Amino acid sequence: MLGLITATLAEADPVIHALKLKKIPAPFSYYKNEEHHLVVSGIGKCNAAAACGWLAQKASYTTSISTTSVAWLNFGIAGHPEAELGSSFFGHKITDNASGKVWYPHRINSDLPSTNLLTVDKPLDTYKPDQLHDMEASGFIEAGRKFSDAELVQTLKVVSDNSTHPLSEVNAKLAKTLIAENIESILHGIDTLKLLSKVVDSTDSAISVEIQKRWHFSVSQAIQLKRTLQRHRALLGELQDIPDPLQQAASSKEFLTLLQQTVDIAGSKL
Amino acid sequence: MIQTIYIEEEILDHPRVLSICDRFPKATTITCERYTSVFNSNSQNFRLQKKNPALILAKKYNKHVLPTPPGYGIGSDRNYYFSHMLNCLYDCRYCFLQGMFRSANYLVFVNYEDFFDQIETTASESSADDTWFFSGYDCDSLAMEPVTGFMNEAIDCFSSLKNAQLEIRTKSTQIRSLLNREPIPNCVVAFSFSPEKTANSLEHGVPSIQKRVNAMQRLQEKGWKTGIRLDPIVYSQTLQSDYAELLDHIFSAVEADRIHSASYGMFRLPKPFFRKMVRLYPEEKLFSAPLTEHKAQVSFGEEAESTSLSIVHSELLKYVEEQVIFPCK
Ligand code: SF4
Repeated sequence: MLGLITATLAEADPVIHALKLKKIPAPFSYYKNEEHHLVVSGIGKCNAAAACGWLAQKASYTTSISTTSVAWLNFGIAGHPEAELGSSFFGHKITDNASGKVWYPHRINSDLPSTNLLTVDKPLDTYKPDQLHDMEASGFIEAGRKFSDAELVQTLKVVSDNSTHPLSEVNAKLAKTLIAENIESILHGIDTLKLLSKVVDSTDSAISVEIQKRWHFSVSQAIQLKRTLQRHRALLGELQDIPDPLQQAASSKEFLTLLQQTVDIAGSKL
Repeated sequence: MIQTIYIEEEILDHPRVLSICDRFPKATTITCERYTSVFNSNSQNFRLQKKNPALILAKKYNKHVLPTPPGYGIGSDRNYYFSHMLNCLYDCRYCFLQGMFRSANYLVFVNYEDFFDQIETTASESSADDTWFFSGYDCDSLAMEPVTGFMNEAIDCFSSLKNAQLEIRTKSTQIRSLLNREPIPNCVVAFSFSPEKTANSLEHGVPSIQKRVNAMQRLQEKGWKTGIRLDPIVYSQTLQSDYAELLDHIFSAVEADRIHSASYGMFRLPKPFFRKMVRLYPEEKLFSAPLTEHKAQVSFGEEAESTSLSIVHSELLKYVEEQVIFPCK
């Protein structure tokens, strides 16, 4: 699953269309399809953090996906003193202007360039050198990292204003146009993140869900079951059906013992 | 190969930083105040980073030289290690670095002189001539040598330290700098090996056994002291034939009577490292083997260990003298 956070509907619109997302009634302006969930957070780092937290909670209650494998992308427009209007960058060093706190998102394999990104609480009179300027990234990254591995929490910004095209000229129409012009880059970023998140996906397999429906597992037993099924996958391949002797297990404890025995026997033959 | 380089602000103009960056003209450079904010930050995923590791250039302020853990060494009582680099170009699935570090980025400390000063000081604390210094504890000693040039300078340091011994431990074949200079008597280039089956399944990105054997042979011909390291031994039902085959392969090219030392040790990991590695690679066969937990360590258990160790010891004895064989505990 991929969580997309952006500040305004104008920025969201081209992505909503490209991914064919459907609007869902919610406290935030929320759009989704099976894999992608987009929240229009509103402007500012607190809004971005709140949207991130809200979506993570929602994912944990309404999907079978493990929240740690959710990838996150904050996209939108940003200012930069020198960069060309319409150029796009991942953020590789994100600084919160108010607190001075810094994050270094790992650069994921992507053809897009990356640069420094400064999150400000309100627009600055003059740009700081060599940085993108936005109002959401620091809140987003701090919140996103509470739920997912740091590599899966990324920002992608399109330059909307610079020293020659001031912020005062930026409006919803321009924001929408710039995002639309960069839709390929944004979709490429999304795909890269989705591939990465598959590596860490620890969502329960279908067989695990079925087993837990038939027998009651305590929290610690469920952890043991998960690990034993992983070992089964490593040594014998994915468990497809519940085999006969295990079908007869009178309790979750007996089920676990029998399954562990099967796996241990396979392991001892290594 | 390196797409991203983090550099500490303090060393932006350091000559080694400049020359390392010159090797990667297309890399994106990012400045940071201290390397720790990149390398040690929370919620990093080693496995994800290993897909595209960055290089971090930093300065190390203290603890350049540390005593080795007990049981690590080749016969001396005074054993130290130093790590000019943390993490490795290769990706051995059994490697404890995955469990120890949060980040898979390559961290290189560029203030080599401080390492050499501390080595000299440590060596001068004893009049004995068998103070050993081990390189390759937190990285592979030679894999990044073309980039760092550290070992070449370390050898310069040891060439004037007659009472200190250096072990350069490696799985790499980056031996050009060694071949381009005269050997020094107080340095052993020690190559790590696992049997073919283990190497193929667990040592990702590592040069083949044949290439390592060739490298060892060339170093021997040049007059360098060489060693063999069979650590970690991964238990298998075919251990005897696996190691017989491996040693036959090695000694078909390498001269046994010119082997300085051969050491071996079992696969063992501290529990927290093991747990982290399982979380990173839940589908890895090695971590699904019947391992046991004892005294905060995860291992194959006493019985499998003693059988394996005695098999490897006996196999080594077919080629080298008892006095150059050292078990690592
Ligand atoms: S070569 Fe050594 S340091 Fe490098 S990954 Fe393998 S075991 Fe670890």
